[in-house]
Amino acid sequence: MVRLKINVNEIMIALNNITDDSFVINTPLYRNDLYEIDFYRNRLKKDYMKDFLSYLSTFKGIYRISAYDIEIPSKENIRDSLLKASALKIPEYPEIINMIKDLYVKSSFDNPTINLLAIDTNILYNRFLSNIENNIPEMPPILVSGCVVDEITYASSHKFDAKISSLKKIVQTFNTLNLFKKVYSFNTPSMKARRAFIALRELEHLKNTYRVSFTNSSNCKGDKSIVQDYAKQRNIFNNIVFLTFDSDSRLYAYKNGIKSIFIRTPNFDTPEITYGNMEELIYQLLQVFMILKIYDGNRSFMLYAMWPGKKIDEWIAGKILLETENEKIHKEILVARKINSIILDYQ
Amino acid sequence: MKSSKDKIYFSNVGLQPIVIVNGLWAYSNSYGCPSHVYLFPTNHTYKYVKILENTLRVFCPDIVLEYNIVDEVDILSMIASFTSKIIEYKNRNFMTIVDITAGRKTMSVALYSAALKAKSDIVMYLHLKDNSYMGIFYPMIPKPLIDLVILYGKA
Repeated sequence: MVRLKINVNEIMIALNNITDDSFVINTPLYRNDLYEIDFYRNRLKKDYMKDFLSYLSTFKGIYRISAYDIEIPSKENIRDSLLKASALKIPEYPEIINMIKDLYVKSSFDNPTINLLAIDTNILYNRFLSNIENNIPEMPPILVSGCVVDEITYASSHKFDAKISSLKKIVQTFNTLNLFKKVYSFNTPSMKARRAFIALRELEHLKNTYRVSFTNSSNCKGDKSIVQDYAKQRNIFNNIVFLTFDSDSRLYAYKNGIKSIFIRTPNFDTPEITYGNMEELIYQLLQVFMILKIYDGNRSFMLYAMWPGKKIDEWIAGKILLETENEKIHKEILVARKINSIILDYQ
Repeated sequence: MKSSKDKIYFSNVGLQPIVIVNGLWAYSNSYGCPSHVYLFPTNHTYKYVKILENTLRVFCPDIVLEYNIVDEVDILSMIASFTSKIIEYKNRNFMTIVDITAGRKTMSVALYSAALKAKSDIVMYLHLKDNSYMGIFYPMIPKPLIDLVILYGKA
């Protein structure tokens, strides 16, 4: 058995090695298949998720589990995972893309205008800019409020609490307590924190790829403080456009005289799966289910979101643990890393 | 990866060295590493020879690498040098594998023509079906999107 920490973009190496025709994403903690993907036709083959979630909701009824117990998979957190992986259609998508494209203006001596795209916390949580970047030839400069960064870093310190969550009761009914103990301990970041790490991973990507500025506000309270912070920045920057998934924040921005682009959150639905979002979808589902088994017949590999001693940097970098009996996967990942590093060194 | 002592792999060198890495990876994954690799860079792509030597040896550690600079616009002179090199190795009892994927179209045309003229054992190219994966290392490309196509001969 080989165990190796991998990056999201290395999942494809494992998929290529185990898949002949189609593969299944399975949740070992709940002993259920979630999706079957037709690898050769580049599409979803079977959607087991809806049946699984309604089956799970019967347990929620029996144990009287609160809707706020987000550690237990629900329609809402699966919808969020699909959205983060760009597997759900966003309403009015072409209009939103055009509005963002139009914000980019080539600044010159004659035309010193700069439009700033001021982002809400939910833009980072939903990986919205990463998901649209292939459709935006020039990303406008991005402004991030210190309040946004504060909110996310605070959430990232939240730990899983077995006293509050009923997750343990649920997994006991599936007889998978041993697996549960592999990924859940007093040190495991809660679902809230895991979402925050996804947002921090997105922020790192934006910082490394685009022009990103930060405001220095801190100790902010509530969603309104983000809009208030951007309103203050208008003394320095003339053209700020606020990007958000939250209708209340959009109204508050309007009240404060800030232009906004509002993105409607899509409903939970069957995902659109392609080669382009397959790896990210698996990664996002892993953040909800903590352990996934990917299999095609007898060939398989396991992925773990958590392991003892996992560092904050590893969460932010999107590292996950791969476990497989297939040594070829292990070898190919190491070769790919070595070759990429030689090429990067050269560049 | 299995090594064979008597195979030589010919390839042009274009502006994307990863194309050669992917071609050799795809070939050697199915048929084992060649013992020799012979590259045809141009004056512009000669700088990639060293990096190619380092990368190819990651998965085919024992290969002997040689090269000869060609003029990418002079098709006839390219055909002549490719043909004589392939024949030279055939006479030394090598099995000759010619990959025409890399390089400018003029170079691919010349190498294909030379391979047929010199009766090379195998002529192949790597067919990438989605350009968004250009520049990506072979094992990281979804396998339905990439095919090793044997144009001539039996691998």
